[in-house]
Amino acid sequence: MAYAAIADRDHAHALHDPQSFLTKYIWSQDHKVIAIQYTITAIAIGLVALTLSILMRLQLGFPHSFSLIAPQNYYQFITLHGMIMVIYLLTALFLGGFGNYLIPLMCGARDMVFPYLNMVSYWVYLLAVLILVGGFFVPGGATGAGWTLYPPQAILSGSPGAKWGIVCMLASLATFIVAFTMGGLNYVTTVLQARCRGMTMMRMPLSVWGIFMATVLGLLAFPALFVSAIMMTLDCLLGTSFFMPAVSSMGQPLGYNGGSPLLFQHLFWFFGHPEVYIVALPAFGIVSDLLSTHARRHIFGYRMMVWAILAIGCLSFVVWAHHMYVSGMNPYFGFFFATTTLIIAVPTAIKVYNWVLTLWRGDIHLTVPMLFAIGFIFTFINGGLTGLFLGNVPVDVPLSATYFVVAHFHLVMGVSPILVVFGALYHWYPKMTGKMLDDTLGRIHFWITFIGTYMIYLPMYYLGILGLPRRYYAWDEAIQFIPPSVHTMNKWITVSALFVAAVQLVFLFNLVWSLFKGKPAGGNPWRATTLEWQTPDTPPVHGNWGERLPVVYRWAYDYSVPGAKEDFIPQNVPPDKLAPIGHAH
Amino acid sequence: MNIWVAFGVLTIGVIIWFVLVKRLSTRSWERHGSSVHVRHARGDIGEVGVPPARIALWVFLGVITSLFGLFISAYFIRMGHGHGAMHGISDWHPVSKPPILWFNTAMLVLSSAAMQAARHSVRLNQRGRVRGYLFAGGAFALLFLAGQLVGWHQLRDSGYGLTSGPASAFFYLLTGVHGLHLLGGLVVWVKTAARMRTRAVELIEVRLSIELCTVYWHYLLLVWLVMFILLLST
Repeated sequence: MAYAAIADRDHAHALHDPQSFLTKYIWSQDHKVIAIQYTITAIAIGLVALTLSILMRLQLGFPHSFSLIAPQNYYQFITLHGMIMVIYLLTALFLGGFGNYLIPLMCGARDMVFPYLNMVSYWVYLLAVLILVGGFFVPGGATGAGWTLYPPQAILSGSPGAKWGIVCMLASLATFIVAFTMGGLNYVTTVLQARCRGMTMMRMPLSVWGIFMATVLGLLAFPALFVSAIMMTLDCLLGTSFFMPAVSSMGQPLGYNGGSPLLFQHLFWFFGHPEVYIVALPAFGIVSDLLSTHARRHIFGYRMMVWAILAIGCLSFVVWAHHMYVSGMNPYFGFFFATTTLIIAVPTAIKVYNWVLTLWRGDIHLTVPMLFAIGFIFTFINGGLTGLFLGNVPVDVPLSATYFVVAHFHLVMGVSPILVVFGALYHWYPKMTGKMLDDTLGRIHFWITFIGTYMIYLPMYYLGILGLPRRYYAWDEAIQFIPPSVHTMNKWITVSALFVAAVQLVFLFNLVWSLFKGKPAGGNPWRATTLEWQTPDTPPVHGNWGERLPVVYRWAYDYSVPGAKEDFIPQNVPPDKLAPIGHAH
Repeated sequence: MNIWVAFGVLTIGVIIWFVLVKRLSTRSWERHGSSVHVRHARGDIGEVGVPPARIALWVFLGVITSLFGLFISAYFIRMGHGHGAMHGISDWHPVSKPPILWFNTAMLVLSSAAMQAARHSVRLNQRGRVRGYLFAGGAFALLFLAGQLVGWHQLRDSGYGLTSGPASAFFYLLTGVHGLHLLGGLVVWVKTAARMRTRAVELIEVRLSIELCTVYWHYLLLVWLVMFILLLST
């Protein structure tokens, strides 16, 4: 007997097809079903977070009109909004949703290498979401410590949820990390082991590279959050002093002594900065594929794009303290981390240039996915450039904890990756369902979202430069340095946010309506080269490829190859089947 | 930043670079020399290349390294030696280590040795010995865990509870996290041992489980030794 690679296990009978409704759609081990489960759960909890943000904006824009939002509620909302959006929506959606769906299909595999572990990872993720939401119902309510959960305030009686709310949050995070580790082992091992014949690493689409690197980052960075969660839970429940200094509350000294709040910040941001790249790298990868497909042009500088993804990933581990310039840490560290922060801007900028150069002289089809992809480039440049401001210590000191920072991270984390999510959903919906999403509704969705988010966040930069502090429930009109125009601007931002939130309902309607009434898509409506579009069935059935696994002969970007009959050559077309000239990379 | 830390990190980085680059350039679909027929939990999936479970274990060991590395750097920072900490924190009082820790260390070494012997016996196809060494491996690990609990009691009885100070808090925390990881390994050990006992199972089918368990055991022994030296010297 000889070793045979996973790619050679062609016999479809090896996978036992699920038979009952429960094993096909609920306790499914099929990566596509699990991906959809992740996506639906992530979008559902994301809508909760969106609602929280609307409540926050209503309070900020019309401070005296909504008495149902008390100050402690406001802090609970900002905490949950931030935590949900960053971790439970974006991370789960990009890695659990898109990662699960795309990795086996783009690599030519039948499924993930550990299907049972994959299934368990989803249910543990769902458990984490439920524990998080449960925080609203425990005595004291959810924690209001801010998504960064800084001690000592997080577990002192002045903060909302200082006893049970914070424990719920930490338990939920620990559960999520367990789920993520299980999923992450799957994604990494599948990419390394289960690629089909001919699919070398340097022929993989950039979507897979982005998700792969993000998974590696997550596997190495989430332990930092786990460590800090364990230690803070011990501080809260058992009275240890890992992070808690000697502190009195309401005149009574608490039992703590000698802990270091700064230690928490180091641990948290050692996780926190790679986390934002865990969100950004899949977006970078996916947008490269969207631009390439819809501009009928190969991605410019594929090799550099791969190296940039790897470089950004590695560098992301040495920039964390740029979140801590004003924390009181050793100021010499500020010099070091400002330098590394500026260095990480280099591979990121290279990617931006390459995206633009991909579009240059391309046969651009302004489809809805393309609109979102181009929208990503605009908003990412905008938000990213302000990151250069904030990366420099002297500029960051006055801007820290103002709305400048809020605008920056919302544009690079909230707007740009979300635009990619939308673009990716419009792009891959036909593969997942066999139907096209409605084009008109898609364009309405795009334009209102795109213009609306600019109307929200561009003015917000100016609020920050004026010095408007963040994490304030309200600004008393008596504060001298805040002119009345700020309050007017806040009203403007709130109204824009309401419009943007409302148009997401159009998208949700489109998702459901098109399932029944959408135009039939066929197997490859975008005429794309990547493997997921070459499955024999649409949507792909269990086992993905039918009797034989595909064989790959070229990279993922043979668009508009000179001399070819069509303007695209799928990865699995053999060289002898090409008309006139064949290109193999 | 300490130059030695930087040097260590750089070395690790270079090693990882070589391993990763070599890994990335392999073609996972190509045939290899040896022969293993692997039974997947859901049925026979035929023969596989480098078993995915082996890759997954090494990735998981990377995750655990990150975890323990972070715990240890938190330990240093809290002790006042790491960057970011204020000098002159005088509340670090080393705890007197319960003497049973030496016994526990011996138990863990024996456990690792037994697992290694089990792995070796699989290669030599000595079925009876495999069973014996496997059980010994688990038994010594259980003795280690029991001894750790005794050590906790001894420490508490000598006046160092969880909240007595940072050194004792870290002692409980580090040994607790390590113990939990060993417990997780024992869960896999139970499954492997059960497979060996209940069915007339070919050695070849548990070979991978025993190999991976052994790697995990050695890794946890390494972590324990590092932590033990750390706890003894500070």
